[in-house]
Amino acid sequence: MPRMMADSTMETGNIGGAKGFQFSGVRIEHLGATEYTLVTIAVDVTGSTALFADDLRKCLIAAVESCKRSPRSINLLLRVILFSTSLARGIEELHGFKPLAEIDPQSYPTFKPSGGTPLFDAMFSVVGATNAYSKKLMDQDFLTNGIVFVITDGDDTSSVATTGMIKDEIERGTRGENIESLIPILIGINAGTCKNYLAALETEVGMKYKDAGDATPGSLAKVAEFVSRSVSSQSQAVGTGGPSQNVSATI
Amino acid sequence: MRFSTDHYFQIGHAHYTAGKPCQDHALSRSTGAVACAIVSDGCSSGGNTDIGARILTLGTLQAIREHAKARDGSLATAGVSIAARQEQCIAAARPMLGLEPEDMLATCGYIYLTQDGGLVRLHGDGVIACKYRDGTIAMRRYDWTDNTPFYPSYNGADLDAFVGCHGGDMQEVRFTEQSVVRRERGEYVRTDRVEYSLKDGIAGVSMEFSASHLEQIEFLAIFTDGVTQIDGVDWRDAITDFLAFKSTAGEFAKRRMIRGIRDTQRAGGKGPIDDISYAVVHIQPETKTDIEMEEQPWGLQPHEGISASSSTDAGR
Repeated sequence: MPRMMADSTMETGNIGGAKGFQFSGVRIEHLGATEYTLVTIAVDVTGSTALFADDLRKCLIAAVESCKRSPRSINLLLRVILFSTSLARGIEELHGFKPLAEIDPQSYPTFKPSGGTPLFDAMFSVVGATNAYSKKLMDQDFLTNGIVFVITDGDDTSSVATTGMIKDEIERGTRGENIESLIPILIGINAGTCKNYLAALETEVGMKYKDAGDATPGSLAKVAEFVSRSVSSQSQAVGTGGPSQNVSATI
Repeated sequence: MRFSTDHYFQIGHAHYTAGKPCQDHALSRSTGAVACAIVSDGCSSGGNTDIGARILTLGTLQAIREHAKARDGSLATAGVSIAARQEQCIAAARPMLGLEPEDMLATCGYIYLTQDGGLVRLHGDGVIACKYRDGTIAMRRYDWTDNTPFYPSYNGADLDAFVGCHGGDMQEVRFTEQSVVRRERGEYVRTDRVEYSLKDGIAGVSMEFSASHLEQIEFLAIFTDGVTQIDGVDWRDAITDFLAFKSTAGEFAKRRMIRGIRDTQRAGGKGPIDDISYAVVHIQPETKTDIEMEEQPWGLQPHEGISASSSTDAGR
């Protein structure tokens, strides 16, 4: 069960049809704009990331800070989750979909990597929650699109969700049923021998794969910049009604 | 009663493709206990009427603020007081900004509601609509012959020219009202058409609402005539769609109209041909929480997610 922040402005939602997958998002009555890009960043905190956990946290903070400086920042809602089998139900939500102005990334906790990789659960959570929350917003006349990033160094070792479930959610998002467009991105960092496996997921589930190379401060800084530029691009597309576009930014 | 408001204006296809600015403007404000919603439509063949429209809406807002602050609880003086202030604003702003008379050619309609009742006034053309708590929508559309509406800025020689443009006979029929009622089930009933003289049209539309009548209304809205010129959409259906709010939190009217327009464009239409704008007051019945809530100062737009109450039967 994701840990939900105790905040009366937030409410909990379920990802349709998936028991045990929850997310949180700001209550609609607290939203002032008419259109939003729903951004989700999922970070691998399994044991294998221990050597670069601090840099991974800095990467996350840098990406969020950069999004906060965007001219479109008031039209962004951000959700951040960590994933590892050491966490309850494999996923911990640092916060649900919230306006960037309400997020202080410097307060993100120090990562304590351990456990195996529920990669598929993380992928399902980020896409499914985006679709579910977007439906809620679109039903209330908001215009939304979404972009999700899953940052990982390895393959799936223990998940409840299947690739079929992930693929269905991605197809639901890219079809534009309950969200104008959805761009799902899997980022491999220090993926090494898992690189080919992760790249193959692109074909299997439809999640674009970007390899970030070795986990160095420099490469993780590039990941942060990639996230920021991709979010900016997607944010400018909201309201155009266009289909999902390929991300032109590179790492 | 507790009031909340929202408004929206958007450029039409004709101006967008011609490289002209949006000449509609809309404003709304609420303290909770008092609310106003204002729209203005600048003349397409005038000068910088986008500026004129804004001067009118802002001047009207200021006039309503002053009246609300000074009034003794009576709306009887509101119409005259606000009209006088509008004239002062136009007269003062024009030379200050170096504007020409043709820059000030804009219609103006407003809704002004208090706990004692409300007033709706319209000079020019447009639509006034009430959505009752039982889902019934009553709409009144106002048009001028030859699409030549009266503008509040007309006086002296300009007024003579306007009268001359309409044939010179003050008793001649030049202004029409179409009344439509739409039941919740969707059928349109009771469509009436009333013709008014040039003299009556210049005097403008004035509607008064008692407090008890307001309690039966969920939304009171005023539209510029752009709502009657949406490609492929009957104006009655457009009004109905723009009042079909999914929620009343935040920029509820803006979201609804943006979404409504997009839906028409997705269906193959061009959307609004003319600039379009509307301003809406949401009327919530008084609850114990309302009594305890403090009034908001003018200038803030409190957006509270209070759901609509259940409908009540109302004779009309």
